[in-house]
Amino acid sequence: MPESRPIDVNSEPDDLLSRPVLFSLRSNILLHELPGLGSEGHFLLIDLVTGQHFGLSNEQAAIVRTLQILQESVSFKDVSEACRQKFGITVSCFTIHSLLKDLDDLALINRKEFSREQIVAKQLKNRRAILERRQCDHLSSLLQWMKDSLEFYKHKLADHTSRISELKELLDLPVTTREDVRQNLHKLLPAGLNRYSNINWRSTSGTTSERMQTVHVGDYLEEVTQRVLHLNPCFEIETLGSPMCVLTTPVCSGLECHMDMNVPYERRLRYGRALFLNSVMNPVHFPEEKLEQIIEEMQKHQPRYLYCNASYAAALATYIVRKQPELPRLKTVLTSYDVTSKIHKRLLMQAFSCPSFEIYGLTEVSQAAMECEDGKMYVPHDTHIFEILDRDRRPVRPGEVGRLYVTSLRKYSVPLLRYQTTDLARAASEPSTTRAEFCFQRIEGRINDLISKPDGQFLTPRMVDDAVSRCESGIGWYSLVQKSENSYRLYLVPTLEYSTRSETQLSDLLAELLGPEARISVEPVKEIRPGSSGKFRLCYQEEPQDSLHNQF
Amino acid sequence: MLTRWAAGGPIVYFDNAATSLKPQKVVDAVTRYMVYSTANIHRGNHTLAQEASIAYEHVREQAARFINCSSHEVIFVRGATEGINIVAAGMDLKEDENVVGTLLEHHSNILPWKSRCGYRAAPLLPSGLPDPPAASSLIDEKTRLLAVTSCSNVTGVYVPVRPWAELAHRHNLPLLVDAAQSGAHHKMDVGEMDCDFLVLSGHKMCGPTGAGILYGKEKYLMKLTPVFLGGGTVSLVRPDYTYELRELPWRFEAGTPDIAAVLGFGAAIDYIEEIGFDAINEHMSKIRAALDDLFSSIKGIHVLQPIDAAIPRACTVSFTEASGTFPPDYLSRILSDTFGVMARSGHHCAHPLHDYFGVQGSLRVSLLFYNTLAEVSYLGDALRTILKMTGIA
Repeated sequence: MPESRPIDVNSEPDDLLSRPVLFSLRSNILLHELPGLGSEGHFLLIDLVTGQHFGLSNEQAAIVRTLQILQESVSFKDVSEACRQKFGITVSCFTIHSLLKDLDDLALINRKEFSREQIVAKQLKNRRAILERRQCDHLSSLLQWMKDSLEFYKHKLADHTSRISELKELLDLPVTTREDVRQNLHKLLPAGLNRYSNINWRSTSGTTSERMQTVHVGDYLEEVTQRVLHLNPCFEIETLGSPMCVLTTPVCSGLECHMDMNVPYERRLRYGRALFLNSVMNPVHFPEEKLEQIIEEMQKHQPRYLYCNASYAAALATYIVRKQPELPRLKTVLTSYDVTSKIHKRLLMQAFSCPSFEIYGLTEVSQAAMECEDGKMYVPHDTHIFEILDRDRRPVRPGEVGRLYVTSLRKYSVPLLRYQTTDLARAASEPSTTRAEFCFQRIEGRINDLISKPDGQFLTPRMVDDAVSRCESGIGWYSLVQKSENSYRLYLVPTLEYSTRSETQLSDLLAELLGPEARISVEPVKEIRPGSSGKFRLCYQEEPQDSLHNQF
Repeated sequence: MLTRWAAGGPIVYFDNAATSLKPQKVVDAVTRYMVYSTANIHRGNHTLAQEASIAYEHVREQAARFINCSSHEVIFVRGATEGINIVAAGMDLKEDENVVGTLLEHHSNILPWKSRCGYRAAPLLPSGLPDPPAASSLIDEKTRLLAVTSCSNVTGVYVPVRPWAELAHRHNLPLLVDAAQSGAHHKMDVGEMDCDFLVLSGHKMCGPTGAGILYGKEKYLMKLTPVFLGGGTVSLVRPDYTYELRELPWRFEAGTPDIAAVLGFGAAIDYIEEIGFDAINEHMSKIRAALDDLFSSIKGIHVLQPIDAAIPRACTVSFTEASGTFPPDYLSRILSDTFGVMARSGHHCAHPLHDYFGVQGSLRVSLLFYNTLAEVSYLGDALRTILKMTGIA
């Protein structure tokens, strides 16, 4: 087959009819028919070089098949005729022309000069462009709906267009703060709220600032969670509906209790598959009888994965490592709610003999980002838009830390546009070389948990954890407290392996992190208490400095 | 505290059934004791000790006048719950005996009895009041006491106590009245009520937390075994460690009490008496009428209330959003965070009554004499706004 040449996308249809199609498809692509689906998106075109796949309509699939069959130069008219004769499908020259353009953009056309890396890069670029276009379309219609339907945004967006053609235009739109939501919740609720099924009210824990309420309706939470989990290959479709166990901060109210050992298993089972395990006020003192109960319940429930706050699950993992009880084989341990210390991540992987990934979510929105096998956090393009911005609300440079702003794309009850979170995130140093979705390096922790070095540079909980977790052994839980400008105390709950060597090593690691001006002490303690919301702080300033927080 | 702002405006405090706000006079009384005259009572002869003892006993006299009894019949307790527990624990109740109450009771007037003996609750009439004849049928030879509230902390209905006293005394039983919700609303005259025990919580009457009273007729108090013994409760401990209890009321007040709270409670009684129950009743009846108008005019709200609106009620209303779109907890949070209205959600320590109404919880607004008609109107606007925005009403 002859080599292709660039296609003139401005060609008129009349020209196309007689014009030869001077190209060939690459030989290492595969057209796969999906059984049982609707008329659209019936076929997948799989690129065997890159692993990418692309949905095709019946018309498009007929064109691809025809092109694969025709072995010599043909005209557009010939392709159209062949589609009609062989597959009974009438395709216009427009459709052929448009498809050829897309195939060229996706590097599915045979070009000798393209290396594998170039093909991957071209497909990624194209795919990202498609995703951005979809996000912009979705966002545009969402903005219009917000302006039309919600009094809060009617005023807030009065002077802004709802048509977004590039994501960078988001920067021109106003942000939504927690205070906005608190004071205007009633203006963010959709009309006819009572007609929705499954109305799910949530309240933030108030760990970093004043609490706020939100509501999720219908299957929103379930759908978005599945989208987020799907980003990680560990979560195949069949795993999502599988039994799971949840071990989090304690909950005990009049209607729900995950603390009392007397509350029967059945009352802690949700949707028939999610078992909420009994937790405690402080995992540092997790009673053994409760841990034994958890093991028994896991044996009974046979979960495929554990979803947990790592600070709490660490007590369970320590017990498992020590006692080696028989456990169901988990596919993965998902950690959330807080920054997961590498110390706990290692421990969880050791105890459950499986990988552990972080999932990032906000009560205000839903689960929103998922750690994948390359260690980066990914965001589904059709559920959220993440922005990592500096204090002037400009995107930070690759690898830098900024404040996280989240836009929800699918949430129609209390939807949030550029919602200013109290979390910090680090932008990816470089974009993913394999995935088109937005990714960032990692969540760095809460703004309120920042500490500063003696020279004034900020340190996030994650940066502190990078240093402390290099200590080989001996730490159960820890918290680094900045006492004054240059004085720091590391409180830690020691494990059985803790020794003077651990202490020396920790002092050295912290000195390396904080610099020569820092006065550092290490103090083993019997307990570290979580905050009132049940969350732990890997570091914080005893007397918070606004100047530090205001950097973001 | 009423100068504090929330949600862009001054706080509207509608959780007085849980605890009332504390006027400056009360704060001053507590502060004065803490700052200028700290000393223990009944223990010393120095000037400060004597000043504290006199002030403390003066509050007892005030409290006695406030409810029309003798001061030796007034025992200082932490609150109504402790008062009921002291009676229950001191009666030497047997498992096969029983106490008769009503469906309106707070857990505090159920559990101290139920943990020691049988507990039987009189049902409610369509009016929302408990039914004395039905209670009569529950009384048998093993019944030891009748326990009724004078005002429901859920529906706000006032229970006329006198018929219950007559019923109790017909059966030679004592009557205990839980007046925790009435103290700041109505004159409590134990002579007129003819009750045998009565409990009050000072913190629901503008006093500090940690002080309340247990009133008991002398003959019944003398039959109670004190639960707590120690300093102040005995007149003599012999070499063989046998002892003699002190006279009333001190035999029931072991150890050092919360002196500051009691002095603050005295200031609260002063505060209420200075305003006067006539003025309070006049104002509260207007508030009650405004609440009735408000709740009868809002669609989509289900009020847990007596069918007979003519029954006298405190300014306490418990309700739910009828469609279930807004659970009480979240309606409470939205009223608080978005509108600055502090109202209470939950079962208000009255599970059986909520079971009777067929709901798991409710949102309660409870007003006191410092609340205003404008605040009631503001509540109405907030509720209407929430319900209208979501298309419910």
